[in-house]
Amino acid sequence: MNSFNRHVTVSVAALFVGLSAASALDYRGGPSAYGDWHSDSPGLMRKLGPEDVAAPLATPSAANRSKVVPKPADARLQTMPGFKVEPYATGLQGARVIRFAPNGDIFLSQSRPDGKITVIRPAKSGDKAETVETFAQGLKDAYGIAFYPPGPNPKWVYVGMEGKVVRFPYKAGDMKASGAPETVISDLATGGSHWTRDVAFSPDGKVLYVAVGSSGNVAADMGARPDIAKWEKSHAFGAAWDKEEWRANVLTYTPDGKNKKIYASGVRNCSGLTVQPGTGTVFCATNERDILGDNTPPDYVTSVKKGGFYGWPWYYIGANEDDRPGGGARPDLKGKAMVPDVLIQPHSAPLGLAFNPGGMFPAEWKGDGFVALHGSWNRSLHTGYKIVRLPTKRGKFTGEYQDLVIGFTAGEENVWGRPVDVTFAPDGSLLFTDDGNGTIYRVTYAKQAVAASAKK
Amino acid sequence: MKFKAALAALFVTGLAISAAFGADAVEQAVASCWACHGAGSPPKDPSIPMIQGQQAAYLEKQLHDFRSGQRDDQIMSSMAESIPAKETARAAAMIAAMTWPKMASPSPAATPDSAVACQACHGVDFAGGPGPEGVAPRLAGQFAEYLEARMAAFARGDNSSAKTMAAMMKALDAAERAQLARYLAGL
Repeated sequence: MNSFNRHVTVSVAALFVGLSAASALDYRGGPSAYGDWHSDSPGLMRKLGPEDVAAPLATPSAANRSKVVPKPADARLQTMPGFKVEPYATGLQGARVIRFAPNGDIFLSQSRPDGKITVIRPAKSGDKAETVETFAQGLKDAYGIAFYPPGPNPKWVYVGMEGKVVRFPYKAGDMKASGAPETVISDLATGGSHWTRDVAFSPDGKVLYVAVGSSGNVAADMGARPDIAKWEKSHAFGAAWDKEEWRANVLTYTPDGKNKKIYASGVRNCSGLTVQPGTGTVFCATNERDILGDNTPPDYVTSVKKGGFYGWPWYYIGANEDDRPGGGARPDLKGKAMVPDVLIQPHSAPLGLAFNPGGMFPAEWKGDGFVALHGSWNRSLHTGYKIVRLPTKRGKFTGEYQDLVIGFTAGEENVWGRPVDVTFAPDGSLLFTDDGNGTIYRVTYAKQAVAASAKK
Repeated sequence: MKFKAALAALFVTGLAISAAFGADAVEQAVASCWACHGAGSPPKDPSIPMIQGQQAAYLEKQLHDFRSGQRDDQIMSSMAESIPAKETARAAAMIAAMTWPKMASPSPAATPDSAVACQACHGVDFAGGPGPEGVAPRLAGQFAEYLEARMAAFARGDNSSAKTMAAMMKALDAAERAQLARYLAGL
């Protein structure tokens, strides 16, 4: 992209041929893509490249924690022409990961304060919940959910918790666990500031992926280095040590919880671990480090290569060096970190990622990624707190992302929703969770609505 | 990349740009607290505690616990990690030496029966002091909303290093804890 396009906000309405009502859509590429909630607009497309990464502390590190408030009377979610976003289920405190079972029931982790898995049976109309049952409780920090074996008749539901992965016996239609949880993995790291443990299976069911975030922000407390050659042989290329051992990784196990290996290292906090349907490619939505200023460094969503090193804690977004890790620098790793596929406004906090299987959204959006941005604290003005679309071309992300649902911010301090996870319903509509006010929202699309609004 | 030099020169917060010229890294890190914890006044958000003038040893332990994850808060973990580990005591002492920011209009509440048991460690005036699990924090004049949330967390057993507090808070129900919090906030 030339510098003109990268630095100027360009209208590219002509590119959106499938959305005739989208004539006012904007495109922000390069440094103009940086911004806070004031610049959000349904349909707005952004693209950040590794060459756009701002210098550390180009702006001061801010502390601006959002306060979650009930929905203000005049607050409205906004989305693109032809789309509707409506509450689907409420009263679900701490709603986090959401997954459809093959029979159409919805499994939801309510991680905090107590930790439980809830099953929601959709009404036939598809637009609301019919029954809500507690599947299992007493599951501290329950987060990731995966069905095994893959296919129409899973026999187990796997649940990622802070220190372990457990599984419950399951048969289609169960709304309460028929047996006690069996611990299949008991050696996941605990403590530190990242507790989410997302889980997913490969399409053939042979590999269980488990994401474990870092203990610290940038491993400032990591002790003296071990013999690196030996360490990397027993762990992985670029693997951190001490308090960070087996952390900031995507791990793999066999479904029985054995054969632990590091699949990828240096992924600071993969809160959204997703296996792409069809290809089996592993993807992470990742939260990058804090205390480097408003626009440094970008969070990211990326395909994750086996054996890949993604930079943390010594580097970010390629070869940008951070000298804060305990244990000193790793000049040997310079230039060895993978550059992620899609860079997202720093501090947006991308959590869940889902791919659109098609069936309802515009046909050209089939296969695109959808990501929930939980929202910032370490930024002077809030950013995130929205659902974005990550376009694909021939199955690969273009690096762009587009505002799909915005409007949870209410002034500079308050927010009334914090999106966590996204998933697609069998009818092709999109459900997303909000752990601020414990709500599931549903996003639907009707082509006629676009045509009607275009004729006006 | 001269990151630490940049940190020393620029580490201030968006809201508290007091950034005393020439201040060292610890002073700058402490200055970053006030965006949320209130600069010479109570925090705007009553779920965030007043810390100026709090017991130094208590503050030091909390900073260590946030670093290790023993006390669980992602924001505070990053903030605590930004203070060099061996400077934690100095940072805590600096905060403790400040003046407790009194609430504009505290609302006194009746003394609940449960308050007596707290005084053994937190002091007859609830200003904090030495207890069996390290120095107990000042509770007098703290936000009720914050106190209630902390008491509930102890009752849930969230902090495994505070067994006495867990046992004492489990012995109270939510209504009793709320009553106690209102009383302490009104002192």
